[in-house]
Amino acid sequence: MRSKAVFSIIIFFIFFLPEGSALENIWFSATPPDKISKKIHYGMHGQAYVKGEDGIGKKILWIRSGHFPVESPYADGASKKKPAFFILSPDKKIIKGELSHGLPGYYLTFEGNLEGFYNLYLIEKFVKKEILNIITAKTEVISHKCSRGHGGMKKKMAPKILKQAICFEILRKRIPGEDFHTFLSSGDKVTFKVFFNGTPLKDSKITFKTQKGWGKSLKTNINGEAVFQIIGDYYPDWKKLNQKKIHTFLITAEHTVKKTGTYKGIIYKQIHYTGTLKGCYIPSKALYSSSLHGFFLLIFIIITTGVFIYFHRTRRRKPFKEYTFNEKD
Amino acid sequence: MKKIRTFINNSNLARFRFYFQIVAFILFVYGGYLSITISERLPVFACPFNKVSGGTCYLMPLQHQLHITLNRFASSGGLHLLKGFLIFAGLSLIFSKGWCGYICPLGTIQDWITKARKYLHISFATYDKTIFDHLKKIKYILLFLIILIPIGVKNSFVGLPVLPHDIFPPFCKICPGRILLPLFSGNTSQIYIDFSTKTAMFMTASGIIVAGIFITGAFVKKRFFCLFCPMAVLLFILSKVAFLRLNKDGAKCTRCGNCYRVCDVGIREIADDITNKNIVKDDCIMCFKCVEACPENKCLTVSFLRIPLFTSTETGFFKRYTRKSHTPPDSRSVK
Repeated sequence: MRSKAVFSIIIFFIFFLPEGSALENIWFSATPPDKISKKIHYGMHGQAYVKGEDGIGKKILWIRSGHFPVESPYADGASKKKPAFFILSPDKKIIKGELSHGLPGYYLTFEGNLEGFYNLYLIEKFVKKEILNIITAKTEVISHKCSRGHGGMKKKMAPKILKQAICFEILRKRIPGEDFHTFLSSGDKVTFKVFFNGTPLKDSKITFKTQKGWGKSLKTNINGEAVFQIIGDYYPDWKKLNQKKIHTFLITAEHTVKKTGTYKGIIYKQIHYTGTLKGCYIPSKALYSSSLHGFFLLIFIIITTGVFIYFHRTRRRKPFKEYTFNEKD
Repeated sequence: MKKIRTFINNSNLARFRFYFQIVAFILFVYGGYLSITISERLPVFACPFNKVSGGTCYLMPLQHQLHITLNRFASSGGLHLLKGFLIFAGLSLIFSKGWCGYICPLGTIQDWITKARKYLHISFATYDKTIFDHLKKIKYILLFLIILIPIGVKNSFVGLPVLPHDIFPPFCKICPGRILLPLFSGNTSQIYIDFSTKTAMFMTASGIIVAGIFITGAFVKKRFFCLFCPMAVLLFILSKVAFLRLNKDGAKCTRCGNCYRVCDVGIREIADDITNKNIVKDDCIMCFKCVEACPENKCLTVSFLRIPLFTSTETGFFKRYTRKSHTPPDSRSVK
């Protein structure tokens, strides 16, 4: 009964979305604007959070609009109504959050203390050139504390979709052996799956953009999947290297359906769905690290200590000497 | 009941231990394949860097729980630290230092290396008392650093800068378990040197060097690494109240020195101390070879919750050492 009520509320929001500010290609960003970056704390996987007056930490994400992670401006819609949003908790329940506006744009805050991934969605709808644009920004926010233990990790790690409310959605499949402590890194092959009305969508255009703007577009296969390898695009001087520097990647998928109708009294002839998914990655673990050097050092130490012990023992070994005692003496 | 007790006392514990260690090794090194996670606060080196490990060594969460700001020790951080220690203590109380002798995968590897040395007829090394007394202090220093460094990474003391993060977790970085245990599941990813920063380079190279010394050391000295193991200190502190005990009746001891000769770690007090009842020392791994090698009736007794499990008997001693397959105690004179 309760779930039906929640579902009804979601449907209400979907079909009667407040008039937005026509934010194009919106996506969630965990990078705070420069002006307020000092007030922000960072937790696991570089997740930003703010501390309320009650001392409780709230996860915070900003809404940005654009196609490139670095250059995209913070989405500003001060004079317009707020877009709709949903937060899906690890136990698959819609939870409360707060979408606020401040300089320089929208930000979403919520309390997330359950172990696992929270899915965040923000939906924007507008008609432009007789096309109804439905943009769904999505991101996954991890919540984990080692002190809570690591039991049932596989279940908590499982990616999920919100098919009751989100008709066009991108899902990131977990890489083999991924756990709460895993960072995606340059070199990893990551599979993304596009869903339309809860079923995998074939031949959808999907684009991958790295922090520095490198991009690649593919079409999804019969299972709605596309695989991208995160390229290495971070090569600073040795002294400036930050092995744990968190970069953002942005996935955008598109799909068009020919369908006529009206939205807020405006006629449209087709619906264009855009889905974005923000993720993060760190430089390759192999960057500036060498297994070969490690292996040679290991062999060198074994041989050196072995030879040392051998000569130490040989040196201490006394040659056989026969002593004859003359009992008369 | 009496027959069962006689059977146990006359049994070949070394053989039982050999098979027990194999089972424990499979459980703790490959348990992940069966989705087994025994605990994340284990008093043995079940290394989490081995992705298919059946549990997690306590030193890893301990370092993480100490890696907090000082004010958090008085709140949730302190509670988590306490909770983690209580779980560890609970597990330690059951088997005490038996975790080292029977379960620890790193200990088992050392025993297997010792077997390889025996097979090659290479003699083993011993320390003289002065060196032994000096070396055994290393584990206390390591434990002190395990506690201090994680705090120092997060906090500044007397205006000094915080320690570089690449040093964290300090013990895991130099632990031979991190290098060697993943190898048993075909994972060579931990054999590397990280050149990204000077600290990372120093720590990863140190880890490789320690692993190399571990292999050669274990080849010439029985249970070489156990003398430096900081986990042994924690287990020793808790062994005073543990359920599993090793007791000695000094009045029955003839100071023949058999117990010292067979001791893998070389604890001299096992032969010399005739006053203390609880004979477990900080280096003891509770392998109970001393009980097997003791020819005096009820001189050495292994008990669990004060119920005797295994007792030294004259009959048992002669039965064990007259078996053709069993090697007599290594000849080592009591200095």
